[in-house]
Amino acid sequence: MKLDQDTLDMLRISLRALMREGHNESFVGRLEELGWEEVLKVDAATALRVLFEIKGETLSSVDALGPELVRVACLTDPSVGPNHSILLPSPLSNPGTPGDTVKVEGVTSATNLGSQVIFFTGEQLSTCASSHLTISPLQGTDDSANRRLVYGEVPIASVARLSAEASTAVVAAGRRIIASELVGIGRHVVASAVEYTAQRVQYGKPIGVFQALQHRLASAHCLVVGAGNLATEAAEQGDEWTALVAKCLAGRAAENACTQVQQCYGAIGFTWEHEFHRYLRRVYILDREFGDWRTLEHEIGDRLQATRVVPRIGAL
Amino acid sequence: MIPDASMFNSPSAYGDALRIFLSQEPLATPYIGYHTPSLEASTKHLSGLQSLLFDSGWSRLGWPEKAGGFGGDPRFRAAMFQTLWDLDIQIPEPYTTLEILVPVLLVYSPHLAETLLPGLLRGDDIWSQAFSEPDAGSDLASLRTRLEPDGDGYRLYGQKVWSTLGHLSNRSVLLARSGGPGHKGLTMVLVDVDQEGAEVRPITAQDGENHFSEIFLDGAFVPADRVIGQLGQGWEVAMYMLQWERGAWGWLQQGRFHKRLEQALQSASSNPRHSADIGAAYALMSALRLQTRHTVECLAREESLGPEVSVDKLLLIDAELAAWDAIRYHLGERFEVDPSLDWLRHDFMFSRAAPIYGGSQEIQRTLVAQRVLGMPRG
Repeated sequence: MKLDQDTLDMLRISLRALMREGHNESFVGRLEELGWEEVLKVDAATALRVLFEIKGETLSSVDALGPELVRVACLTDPSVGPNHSILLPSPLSNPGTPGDTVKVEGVTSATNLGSQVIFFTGEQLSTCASSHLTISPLQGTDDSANRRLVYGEVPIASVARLSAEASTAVVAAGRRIIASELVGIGRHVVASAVEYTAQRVQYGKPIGVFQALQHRLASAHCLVVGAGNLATEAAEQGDEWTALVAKCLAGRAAENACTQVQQCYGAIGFTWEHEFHRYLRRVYILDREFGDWRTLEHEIGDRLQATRVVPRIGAL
Repeated sequence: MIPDASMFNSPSAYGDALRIFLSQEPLATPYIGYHTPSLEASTKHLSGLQSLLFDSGWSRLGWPEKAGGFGGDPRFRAAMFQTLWDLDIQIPEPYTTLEILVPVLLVYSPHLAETLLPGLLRGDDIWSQAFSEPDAGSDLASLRTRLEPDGDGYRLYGQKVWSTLGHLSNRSVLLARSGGPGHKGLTMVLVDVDQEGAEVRPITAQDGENHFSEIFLDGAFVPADRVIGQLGQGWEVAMYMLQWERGAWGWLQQGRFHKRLEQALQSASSNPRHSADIGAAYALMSALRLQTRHTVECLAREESLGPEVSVDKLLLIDAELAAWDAIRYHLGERFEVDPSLDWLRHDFMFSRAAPIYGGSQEIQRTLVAQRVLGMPRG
C-alpha cells in the first residue's frame, strides 16, 4: 500500500515543523505523537524517504538515523531491542580486539545512549553494554551535526555478535536513508540558488538570465533528479545493491550541486552568515557515512568486474 | 500462440515470454549476436526480424487495436526493446524512428496511424524525420521550407538536413512553413520521399555510416490527408513528438548501454584501475533507466510531460558518454585494432553525438533552467 498524496502533503508539513523545532531529546516522542508507527505500517519506504529528504532540506541535526537503524537491526536480529542505541563506524580509527578486550568506537547523534550499544568492527555488527563507554563531542567539518564520539574497551565475553544479515540490512538502510538526506540537500540548495539569481541584479538584469549560470543550475538539477530516482527505488526495493548505487550517486549529485550553487552566489555565499556553507559542510559529513561517493564508485566497479553481470535496476 | 496484452499481468511478464519465444524459435537464430557496422546491411538483415516479430504478433503489443496492434500500453514496447537487448539482438533502426513518429500520429492523425502502422511495424516501410535545415538547427522555428497549396494537396519547396535514416526511407515526417514567420506558421506533414520533386542524399557521419541525409524538395506533392494535425499546428505536433524522442528513445538506449557494458566486462580481464569509471558509468546508467522508465509510465497513462523530458536527454548524454568511455578504456588497446570489434568502434564513435543530436546539451540545459527551474529569460 502507498501513502496517498494528501496524507503525504500533511506529513511533509508536520515533519518540517518538527525538524525546525530541532529538539533532539523529544524528537522520537514527537514523531510518535504524529502517528509515525501507523504511517510506517502503511508505507515505510515512502515515509522514511520523505522524513530524511526533509531532514536534509532543513539541515536538522535530530537523531532520526539511529532509531531507524536500530529498528532495522531489530527486524533482522531478535537479540536487538528498544534499549539499544547504534554507533556509526568511527572516522578516527579502526577498532581492534587487543587481548581479552574489544575496542569499541563509534559515532552517535543521540542525546542519551540506551543500556546497550550496537557497534561496527569492520563490517561486523556487535552489541555490548553502554555503561563503561566514554562519550565526548566530535568536532570537525560540521559541528552543527551534533555528533559525539563513543569509545572504550569492554571484555570480549560481554560482546555479542549480530548476524551477518543484520549487518547487511543496517548498512543498506543507512545508505538509502543518507541518500535521501543528500537528495533533500541537493534540491534545497538548487532551489535557493534559483531564487537568489532571480533577485540579484547586475548589468541592469537579474543574473539568472545569464546562460552561464542557467547551465550550472540545470546540470546540478539533473544529477539531483537522477539521484532522487535511485533513492526512491532503493527505498521501495529495500535491497543492498540499489542502496549502494543510490548512496554513491546521491553523494556525487549533492557535492556537484554545492559546487555549481556556490559559484552562482559569488562572494555573498562565501560568508559565514550565509546559510550555504552549513549545507556544504553537512554534505561532506553525510557523504563520508557508509562510504563516500568516490569509494563507492570503485566498489560498484569492482563488484561488476567480479560478477561480469550488469544488474538492471528498476523493472517495468 | 498469438500473444495479446490480456495474457500478461505486467510488461515484464510479456518480456520474459518473448525471451522464451525468441530463444526457441529457429527463425530468430540469425539475429542473436548479429553485429555489423553497416547501417544499410543491418537494416536489410533485421527487416527479417521485423517480419518475424510482426507475423508472430509480438511486436503488435503496446499498439492500439484500431491501428493494427494487439492492445496494451507503450510499456509493452519498452519491454520488447529490453528483451531484444538482453538477448544481444540489435534493435532494427526503423523501430527507433517509428517509436518517435507513430505516437504523434495516434494523437493528431489517427486515420494515418490506422492505415500505415502495420507496414511500418512489419518493416515494409521506413520513415524518417525531417525537421532541421541548413539555417535552422537549434533555432528550429526559423525554418524556411515552404508548404504551398496545390489542387487536392500541397507542394514542398526547400531543403532539409540531418534526416535520420533518410536515404533508406520511403516517407518522411516533415515540418514546413505554411504561413507567416515564427511558431504559428508551421505545419507537420507526411511526405513520400521516393517521388519526383524529392531528392535524398546521404551524409556520412564520423563513425563512417550514413546515419542521416539531406532532402531537397522541389515540388514534392503532399495529399491533403497527409497533413498531421491541422494547418498551423506544426509546432504543437513537434513538441508532442519531442516527449517521445527524449523519453522513449532514452529507455531504448539505456538497454543498449547495459548490454554493451556487460559484454565488455565479459570479454576483458578485470582491472582495478577501471573500477571507478565503470562504477560511475553504471550509476548514471541506472539513473537514466529509472528516469526514462518514469517517462514511459507517464506516456503510457497518457499524461503530458512538458519540459521535464529535457532532464531525460541530459541524463542520457551523461550516461552515454560515461558508458562508452568506460567500455573503450576497459577493452584496452584491443578496442582500437581488433577487427572483430569494428561494429563496437562504430557505436563508440556514434556515442560522441549524444550532446549534439535531438536538441544539443546547451539547448536542453537552457530549457531545464527556464521551463523547469523557472529561471528568468533574457
